[in-house]
Amino acid sequence: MKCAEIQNLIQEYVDGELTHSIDLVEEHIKSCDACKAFYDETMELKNMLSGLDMLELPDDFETSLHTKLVEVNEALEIEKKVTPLKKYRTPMKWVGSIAAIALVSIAVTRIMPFETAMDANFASMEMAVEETAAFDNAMADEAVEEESMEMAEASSEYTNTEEDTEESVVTSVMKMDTDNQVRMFTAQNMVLAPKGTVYHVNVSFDTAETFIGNYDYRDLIVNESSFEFYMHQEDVLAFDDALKTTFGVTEEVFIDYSLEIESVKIAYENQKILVEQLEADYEKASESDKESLKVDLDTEKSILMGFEVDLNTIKVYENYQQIIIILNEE
Amino acid sequence: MVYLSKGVKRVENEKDLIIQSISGDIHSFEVLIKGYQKMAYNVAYRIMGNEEDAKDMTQEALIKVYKNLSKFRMDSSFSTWLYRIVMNTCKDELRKKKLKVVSIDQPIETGEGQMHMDIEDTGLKPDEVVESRETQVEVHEALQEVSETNRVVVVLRDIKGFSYAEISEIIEVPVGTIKSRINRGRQELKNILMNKRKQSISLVRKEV
Repeated sequence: MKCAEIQNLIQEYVDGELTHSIDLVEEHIKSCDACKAFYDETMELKNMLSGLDMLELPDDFETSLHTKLVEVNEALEIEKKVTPLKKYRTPMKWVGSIAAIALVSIAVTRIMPFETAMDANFASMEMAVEETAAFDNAMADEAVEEESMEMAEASSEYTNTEEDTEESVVTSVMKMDTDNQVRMFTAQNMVLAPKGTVYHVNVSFDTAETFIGNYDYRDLIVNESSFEFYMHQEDVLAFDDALKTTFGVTEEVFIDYSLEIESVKIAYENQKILVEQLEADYEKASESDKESLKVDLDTEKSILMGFEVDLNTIKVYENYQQIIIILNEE
Repeated sequence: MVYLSKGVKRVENEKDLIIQSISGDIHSFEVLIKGYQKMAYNVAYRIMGNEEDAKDMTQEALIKVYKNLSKFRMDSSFSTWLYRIVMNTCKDELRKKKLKVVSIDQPIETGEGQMHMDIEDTGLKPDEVVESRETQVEVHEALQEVSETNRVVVVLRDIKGFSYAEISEIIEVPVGTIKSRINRGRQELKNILMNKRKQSISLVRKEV
């Protein structure tokens, strides 16, 4: 087994998570200085991290949290009395997010290679989306007359649906190979599109939600009073137009992520040069130096791979724009 | 979970507390989260980097927990669910911060790449354990430079001691991905620390 592979196992070994090849790792460490050094360093790092002090909660933590909780209760009381309809917002809100989870999977899947193995999962995810949509309609029809008690039931029933949907997505993700998993999950975590627009609008939550629902969005995040998602640049003009003619847009801010994206590209290029130089050094090095150089080389290569993953994600979102809609306070 | 309340009473049933909290009983909720809030705060501190944000994020997350308790599935782990909400709240905030500083002066890793070239002493000095306040600060600061995705797993694993399986549940990412993020995160951290040390050594040399 190569040192690089051993070092991957060492990470699991020091975490007590290695279930196989334990002897192999232990034997190897005894005879290989580079891997012994790697083991020591990793242990050292772990000790440093676990040795960090636990902070005490700030003195006013509990009292100020208590005040906030009382405020929440008061707000909920008001909500119950005045507008029972608002109740129905909560389940609706996360309809958006389930749809988003499902959509992101589909969208990302589509672009990725190795699709053949995933056709089956694909179908199941699309079904999940349809189910969501069906439920969505059912909810809308019923919601208006429902008493809040019944609403609560519906929403708990709904919770199960959510779990199922998520599970099927997660299971299908499990079947992808690691690279694709990484890509898929990084896709959910970082800024990806080169450009974006923030719109401040004077509409209610539900109106905005319905409006957005007419468009082909991706990675929708629904917050208390804002929506964030990505849209293909071809659709952006029409969306922009419709938004402005339908609602009052009070403010419009353009976002440009090109510098950030550029910095990832630069970092990648630099890392590539570094790896090439290290490789050249490695070729020229004497046998005794080779071992320690190999460790450096592997480290730098793994960083390079990280940038590669980021660049792939950026590539996927190249033709997309981020849209952020912020609802003005009523 | 073992929790010792004022009357040194062992609360056996989290479920009861949850049900009472759902009905709006703030005291029950406070008892319910008592055993988790400090850990949540510390996780948030290592992710966000400072105490003020850590406090805000922990409280925001706990309020979310309170508001959404009725959606919690009783047969799953409450702590996992709570920590997931804390992590997501932190992530959202970091995202917002990034947005506020549109195309920020993110340190481009350019120069640093070259610095790796002339490192003679690989390895962190084995006898430098986290004893001094200085080292604590150094490690904490270095951690803030690790990319967010990897930092989250390193914090959960090495600072808070969650297992891969627990982390996988908390951040809803498969174990295989957790492993690769831990590997990358530790590597990043090692490099950052080595660079910091190198810089401080060369500073000392200049002063001499």
